[in-house]
Amino acid sequence: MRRLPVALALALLLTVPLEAQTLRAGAVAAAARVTTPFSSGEPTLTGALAGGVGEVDLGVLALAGTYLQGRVTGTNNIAWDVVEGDAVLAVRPAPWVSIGFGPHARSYLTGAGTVRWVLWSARAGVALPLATDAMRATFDLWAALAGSVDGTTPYGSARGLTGGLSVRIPRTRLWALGTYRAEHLALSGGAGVETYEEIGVGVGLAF
Amino acid sequence: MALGVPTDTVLTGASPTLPIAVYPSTLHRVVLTVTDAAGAHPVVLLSGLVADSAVERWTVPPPARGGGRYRIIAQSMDLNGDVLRSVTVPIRVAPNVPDTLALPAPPADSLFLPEHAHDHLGVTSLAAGIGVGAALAALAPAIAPGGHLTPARFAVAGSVGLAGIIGFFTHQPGRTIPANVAANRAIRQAWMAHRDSVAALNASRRRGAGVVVRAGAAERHEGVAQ
Repeated sequence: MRRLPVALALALLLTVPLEAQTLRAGAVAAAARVTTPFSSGEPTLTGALAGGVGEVDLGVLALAGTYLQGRVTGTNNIAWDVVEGDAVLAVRPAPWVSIGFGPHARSYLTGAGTVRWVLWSARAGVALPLATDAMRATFDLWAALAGSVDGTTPYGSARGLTGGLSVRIPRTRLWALGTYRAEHLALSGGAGVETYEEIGVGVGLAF
Repeated sequence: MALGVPTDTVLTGASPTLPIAVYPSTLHRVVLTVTDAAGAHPVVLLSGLVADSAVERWTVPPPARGGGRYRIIAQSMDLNGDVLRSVTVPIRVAPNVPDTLALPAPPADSLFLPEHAHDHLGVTSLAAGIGVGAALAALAPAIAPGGHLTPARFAVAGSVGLAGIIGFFTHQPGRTIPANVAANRAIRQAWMAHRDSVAALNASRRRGAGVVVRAGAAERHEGVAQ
C-alpha cells in the first residue's frame, strides 16, 4: 500500500519526457498554533517551523512533498519539538484542478514521549490563475481515509484545508507562496480534538 | 549603297542611340536622314562625302505608349546634288517591357494577433480571488469547529482576494495588449519594407529598360526615295 505511490511516481518520471517535467523546490517558514489534548492542561502551543517543499510536475500528474520542523511552546514551560511532513501524488484532470492521495505525518517530541499522527488522506484542490498563470489562488481540502495516533491511542478522524497565493516571478525561476492551513484531528470516542493552524511563506526555484 | 541597321536590338540608358552605318559603293556625297513614318520631321545625321563607310548615331526619341515608326533614308548624290539612289529602312521603336516582380500581398488577417482583449480574464480573476479568499475564511471554522482559530486566515484570504481584485482591474475586456500591438506592427512594417523594396526594384528596372528597335527590310530606289 505505501510503496504504490512511490512506484507510480518513479515509473512516471521515467516515461514522461524530461522537457515536459518541471521541478520546484524551495524553503518554507511557518508560524504554527496547536491546541491538542496531549498537552495536559496547556490549552494552546505556538511556535515557528522551517523546512522545505518540493514538487515534480509531470503535467497530468504531480508528486509533491513538504517537510517542516520546529518547536512549539506554552505558558507552563512546555516546549515540544515538532516534525511534520507529507507527500501527495496528484492527478490533474485540468491544469487548475488536482485530486491526490498520500501520507501526512506529524510528531510532537514531548518530555513524556512522542505523539505521532500518521494519516492517509485524499485531497482535492484548485489552483486558479489570477489574470495570469504566473499568479494563482490555491485551495485544497483533504480528509483522512485512515490514520493512527501513537499506535495505541484510538484514532477518530482528520480533515483540513490549505489555501493561499502562489506567484511565479516573471522572467525568472523564482516563485513565492503564502499559505494558511487549518486541520482538525479527532481521537475516537470523543477522547479529544486537536486543532492545528499554520500560516507560512516560502520562496524557491523552478526548473 | 547599303545601310547597316541592327534588325532587333534593345537600347538602354537615358538617351539611347541607334548606330546607323552607311556603306557607299564608291565615293559619294551621302545624306543620311531619319524621318517619321509620314516622312515629316527629318533629322539629318550626315551630309557629306563618304569614301567607304560612316557610322552615325541617332538619338531615339522616347516612344509613345504604342511605340513609334520611323524611316531611315540614305541618299547618294552626284557632285551636282542630284539624288542618284536612295535606301530606306523602316524602323519601329517600342518601349522595352522589363521583367518586374509582383508586389507582395498584404499579410493575411490570420497572421495578426488580437490587439484588444475580448476575454474575461478580469472577471475570472476576480471570481477566483474572491472565491478562494471567501472559502479560506469561511470554511476554516467549519473544518475545525470549536478550534478557536486565529484571525491569521483573514490575512491570507484578504491577500488572495486583493490579488483577484487587482487582476480584475488590470485585465478589463477591451484593454490594449501591448505585446500583440508590437507584434502586429512588426508584421506590417516587414510587409511594407518588402513592398517598398520590390517597388523600388521594379522602378529601377523600368528606368533602365530602354527601347526596342526593330528594323524592316531595306528598300532601294533609283533617284529620290518614294
